[in-house]
Amino acid sequence: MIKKLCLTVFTLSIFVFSSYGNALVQGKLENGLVYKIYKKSKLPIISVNIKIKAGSVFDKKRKFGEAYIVGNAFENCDSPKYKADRLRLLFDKYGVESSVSVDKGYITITATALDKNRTPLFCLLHEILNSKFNESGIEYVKRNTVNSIKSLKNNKDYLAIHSAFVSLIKEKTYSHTSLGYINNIENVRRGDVTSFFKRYFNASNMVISISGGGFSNKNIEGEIKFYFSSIKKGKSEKFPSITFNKGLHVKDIVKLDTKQSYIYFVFPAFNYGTREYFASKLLAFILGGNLNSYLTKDIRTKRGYAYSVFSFVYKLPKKSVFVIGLQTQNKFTLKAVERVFLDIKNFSSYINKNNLRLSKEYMEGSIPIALQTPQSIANALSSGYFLDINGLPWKFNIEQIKIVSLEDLRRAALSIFSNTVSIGIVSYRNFTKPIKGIAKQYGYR
Amino acid sequence: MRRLALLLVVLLMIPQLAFAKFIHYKLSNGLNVYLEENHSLPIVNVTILYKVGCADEYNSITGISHMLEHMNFRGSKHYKDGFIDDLTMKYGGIDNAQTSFDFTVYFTTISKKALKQVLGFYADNMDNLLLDKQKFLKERSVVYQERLWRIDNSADGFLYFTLHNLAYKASPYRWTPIGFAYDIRHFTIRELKDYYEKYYAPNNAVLVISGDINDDTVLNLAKRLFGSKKPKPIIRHITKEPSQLGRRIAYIKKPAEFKKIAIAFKIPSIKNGKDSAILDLITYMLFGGKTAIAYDDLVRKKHVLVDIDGWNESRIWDDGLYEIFCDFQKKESFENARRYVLNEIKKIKHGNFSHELLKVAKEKADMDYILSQETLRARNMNEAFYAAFNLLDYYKNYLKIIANITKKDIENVAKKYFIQNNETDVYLIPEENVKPVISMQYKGSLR
Repeated sequence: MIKKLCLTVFTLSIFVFSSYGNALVQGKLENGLVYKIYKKSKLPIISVNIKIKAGSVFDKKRKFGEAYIVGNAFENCDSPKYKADRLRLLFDKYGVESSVSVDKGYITITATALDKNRTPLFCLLHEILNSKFNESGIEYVKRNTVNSIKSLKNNKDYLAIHSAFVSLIKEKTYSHTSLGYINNIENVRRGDVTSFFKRYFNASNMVISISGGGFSNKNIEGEIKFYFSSIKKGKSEKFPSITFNKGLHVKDIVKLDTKQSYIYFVFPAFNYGTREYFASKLLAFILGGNLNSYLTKDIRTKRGYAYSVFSFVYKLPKKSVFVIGLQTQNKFTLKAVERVFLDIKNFSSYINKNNLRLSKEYMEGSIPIALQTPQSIANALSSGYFLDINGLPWKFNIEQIKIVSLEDLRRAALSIFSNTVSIGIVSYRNFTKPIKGIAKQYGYR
Repeated sequence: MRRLALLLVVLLMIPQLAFAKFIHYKLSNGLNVYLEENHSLPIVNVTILYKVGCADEYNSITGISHMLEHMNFRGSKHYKDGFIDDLTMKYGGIDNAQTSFDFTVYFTTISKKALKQVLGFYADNMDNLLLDKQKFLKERSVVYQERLWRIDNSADGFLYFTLHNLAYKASPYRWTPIGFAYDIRHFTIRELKDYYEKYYAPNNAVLVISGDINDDTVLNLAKRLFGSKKPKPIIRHITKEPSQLGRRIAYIKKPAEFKKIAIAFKIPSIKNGKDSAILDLITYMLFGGKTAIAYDDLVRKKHVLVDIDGWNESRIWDDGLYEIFCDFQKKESFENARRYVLNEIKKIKHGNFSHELLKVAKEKADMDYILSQETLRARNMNEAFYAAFNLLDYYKNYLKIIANITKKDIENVAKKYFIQNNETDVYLIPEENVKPVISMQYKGSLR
């Protein structure tokens, strides 16, 4: 059977060689499903990553949380052959470690097993992708989702960053949490789940990436064809547009009992793929990427205000935001806020040739470390596909980073820290007024 | 027959693939060095583990092992403050450290070009830390922030900390590696220096290096950098926890959305070997993967709990704890929640589970074991830990031990340890958004 299927024509097959001598095999099934295979492990492990452009930005109004419920229903509902209990048992029986994550842009299914259990792994993925979405399974997922949302009510880091997002991003489709809202979860019915699935889970709106060791590419291609050719054809979805609210926004959530303030600064940033985007990645590293970064050194090492202070670029389906976060003892709250503003505006202290060179070297040098596990490779390949990267995404990223100039870095910092910032804070008293006062001194209104 | 064939495949395959080829050398000063060549990527990992942790602390210096861990990044005689972070910034890489109940471990994964500098850094840290007072004071504040973040501002963190406070009465395992807040705020630089002098020595450490290296070259380098370090007499006097004579219960309050319970049972040290592996299998059966019976029954089917998890926290020098944590709705009583959990444990004690469940648990254990071999860092960490405490035989035979565990073994171990005399329960009552009691400020100078 497999042999027969292997004879069927693959519409496309490309080989790309990486800097470490491994070949990337890419192909497309007749239904339009793109697959990527990259062998890279001494261990007999196979890791599969299926990414579907079906994240929470596609949640319908008053049904926020829909994508999350769909994603989490797979392992909790019956499949054509098995009851949900049996399905879960088979996952465990064959040592298939799997999970489903849902973010703003995508639903991602990952599964890892010993290569000897490759066939059951594919079979189980095939089963869940044909889920029956029975009521009892969906009810369990809804209940679980509501509990997860409730748990977040005391997660101060989450509350702070979420409130900063909500103030900065105009569209609720983007600013709502992927878990959704409790009163919206109740509105999501089985019919919503199945129609969401039908619309977004089509071959042109997803990608499958595989990495690991111990298998032959040819066998894998045959199995991909066998198990995933039945996914229906369709069209690739487009992400909705996003608008940032301009100016200064401060939202303080008061928790009388807290012993620390949780402070997140969120700034509008750039589209993935642009030179500014890669410059902002370097900037995030220079400011708060490790313990010797500029902000970290100032706020943690020199002053002892925080254990954790960091910056990163959070990629949204469209555009991105630049985030600075820290937690500090109540009495240091305003001093820490002041230091962040002072530091980020002090361009000449951290935008220099040496920091640019070091941050580029760091990015390049970190790649082999990130490529140690098949899980991370498969995930990178799937993400790369949706970013229109045809070859190896880590190679592409490095090429882009290499061409960032000092001027690019300066322009990115000027643009990011110009006049818009949203600050989310959880603190023991309301600091909105004094924080606004500090921000104004640095040009934010 | 198929089962036998499968078992043979697993047993033959794992030693070759998972335990490639660590080679052991012992330097004349007592430093144990483990090397493994792995040329698949141009990177290396260096891990150095010191046998010092909570177990070596006492009241007034609780958390000092962790404080010292922080100061290992703040400068030594030949390496400036922040050196290793500069190095990982330059070459790309990851460096960090972790303090545990029984050990403190430092690790760096980085380009092979930086190996010599990384080793030089760790070698200098062994006996040349500067421990500058001004930097110490700043770092002490950082550690205090960490304590607030991890414990005092977190319902789960505070529950975990309190569970240890209650489960132990005499052993230094009664605090967790972060230590008590008061002690963190009052450590002195003198105490820190004394502690460093006492425990940082080649004969109290294990060095593991793997990746794109040449064993001979790296061994010579290690000899050159660490060979002249002087061994020290390490005398441990760790208070032995007296036998627990009955169930212990505490109620605490913290802001939380759900009621929470932590239940712990005393279990033997990991040095006990087989019982520890059996407790691992019990964990897989009750809480692991998609078929965990406690989760499935109490969360998925009966909806009496919102979440449940548990694990085997065995220790080196004394009894450890088997810990179970649950969240549940406010309307549910603590007594009922505890009863639900104990009923699940009863199933294990009385063998009310299928052979298939045990088989599945073994499959999960095998898979996790293999996944723990994926990165240089994880491999080296395991090697360092098990080597440091003479447990390498246990580690290397772990899958064999797991494969040989029977249903009867499971029942016997559950009956032996999951008993009321060994039990400690901490109940967390969710508190509304209340004003904190202002604690007295410390106004004195450093001791």
